[in-house]
Amino acid sequence: MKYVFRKRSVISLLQPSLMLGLLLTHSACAQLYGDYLDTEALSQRASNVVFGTVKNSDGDYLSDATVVLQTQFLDFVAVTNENGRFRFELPEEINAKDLKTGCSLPGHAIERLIRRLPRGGATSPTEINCVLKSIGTSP
Amino acid sequence: MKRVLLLGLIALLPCSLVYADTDREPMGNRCQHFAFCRPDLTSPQIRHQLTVIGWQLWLEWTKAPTPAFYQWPSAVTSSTGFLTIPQRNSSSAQHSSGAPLITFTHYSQEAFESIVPRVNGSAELQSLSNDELPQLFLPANSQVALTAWWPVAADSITPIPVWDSDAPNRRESGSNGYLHWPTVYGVVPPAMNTPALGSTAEALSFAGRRVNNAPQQSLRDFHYLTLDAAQAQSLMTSHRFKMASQIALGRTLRAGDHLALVAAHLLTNDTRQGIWSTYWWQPLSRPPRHAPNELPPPWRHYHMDITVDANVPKERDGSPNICFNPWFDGVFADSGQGNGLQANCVSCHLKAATPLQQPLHVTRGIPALRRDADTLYTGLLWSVANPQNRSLYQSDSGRE
Repeated sequence: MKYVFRKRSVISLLQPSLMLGLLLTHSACAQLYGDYLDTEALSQRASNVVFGTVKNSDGDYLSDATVVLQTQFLDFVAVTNENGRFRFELPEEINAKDLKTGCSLPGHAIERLIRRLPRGGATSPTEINCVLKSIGTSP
Repeated sequence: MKRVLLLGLIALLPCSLVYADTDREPMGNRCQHFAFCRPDLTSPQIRHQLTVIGWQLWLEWTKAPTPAFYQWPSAVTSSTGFLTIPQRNSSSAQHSSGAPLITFTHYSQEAFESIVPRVNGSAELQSLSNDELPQLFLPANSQVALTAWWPVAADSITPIPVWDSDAPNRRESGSNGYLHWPTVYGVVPPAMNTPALGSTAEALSFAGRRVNNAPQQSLRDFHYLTLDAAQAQSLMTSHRFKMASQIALGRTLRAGDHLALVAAHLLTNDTRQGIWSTYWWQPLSRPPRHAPNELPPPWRHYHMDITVDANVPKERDGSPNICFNPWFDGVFADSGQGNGLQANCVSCHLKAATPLQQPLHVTRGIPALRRDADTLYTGLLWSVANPQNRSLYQSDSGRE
């Protein structure tokens, strides 16, 4: 935690877009190079939550589906758990209105995507529900 | 023309012949492998010389029947082979930004024997903070590699993103991790018929989108492994590996699935800061430049970049040297000095230290290095600096 706070105090002096890049680069590559940062501790911060479900046309929850959120600078990815649910905790600087969303699962195509933005002036949480239709065999 | 030929020949000669004053090198006889003890990095021919060396290393590394690293000990190895990973605490985080990958760090025997005693006794971990710059502490001609693998289903076509440096959606300051690559191929496993040249897969689902008419590529065009049940199960104990598998396959790995080698970093300790060569898979429609003809088939698919210095040879615009691998560096967003497209292995690895100092920021040239009593440089190796890896070395040394 100490390490993260020190970074934040430095980058707060920088341009917002640069700050965003700095923040996200940290969390991004934590995964790639072996969890340098304590993601568990990070998750205790107040955050910008995007959550939701992925279902099939019959309303069954789908596990192992990929959900991608895209900003101008970065991509975030989650996979649904055994209950067909996913959850992102994004940096606060990201506005949910700016996110492009995609859902996928082998053998399926997207049928419907429903996004519910935070109410009033709130910035979080955002709910996204994906419906995928089966189009063939999956591996 | 004669001069170019002569320089080319010189690059291939044993070091002792070219650099008669090798004995005066402070790091001893590090130049046994390649004629590269004291390269003239300002020479107009340096890029060509580096290219020759990078492909020589790849040739040597990929010699049949199996690549060299299969016989190496590893930080993540056990007696059952490098695919087995020790049980780690899985992260509770459900999502990732960037692009999770299945990666392994491999150490040649000499490198491993050098690293383990240092890490096991942290007081003995070589501090290089008083030196002008951190230096490798690996023995001469030892090697360290990082490999990245893409899961491929045993019985169906698997989507795989393919790097395209000219992609229209390329971000000049943001992240260009594989989730963002517009080009996707379909990998056909050996259990299915080999695809005809130019054939395309039916629509594939990948990374939140549908990809129509994805070109098909046989898995045999990659270097690949086939997993048994124990290996698949072991790999899925890692949260990161599990997520990479779910993204590629829409499920976790199981017996019979494959891992295709998509990228590799190779550090060869021939110079003070090492020779850093990096390789990544591409379809043969984009053949690698200057690759030697004697490379056997699957290895001809891998492109190469190489560097030995954070600064030189300079880029065309006069800026510090760039050495880029899309799988490892593409994901980095701009943190003030450029994004991953401007990365350089030496510039990044000079910062390898504990406590960690900005491990994920791309830097150009020689980075600003912290110099205080608390900072311990780890010989340019992030794998040693990463506190999560310490227990791996320690537990492995107990077993070996």
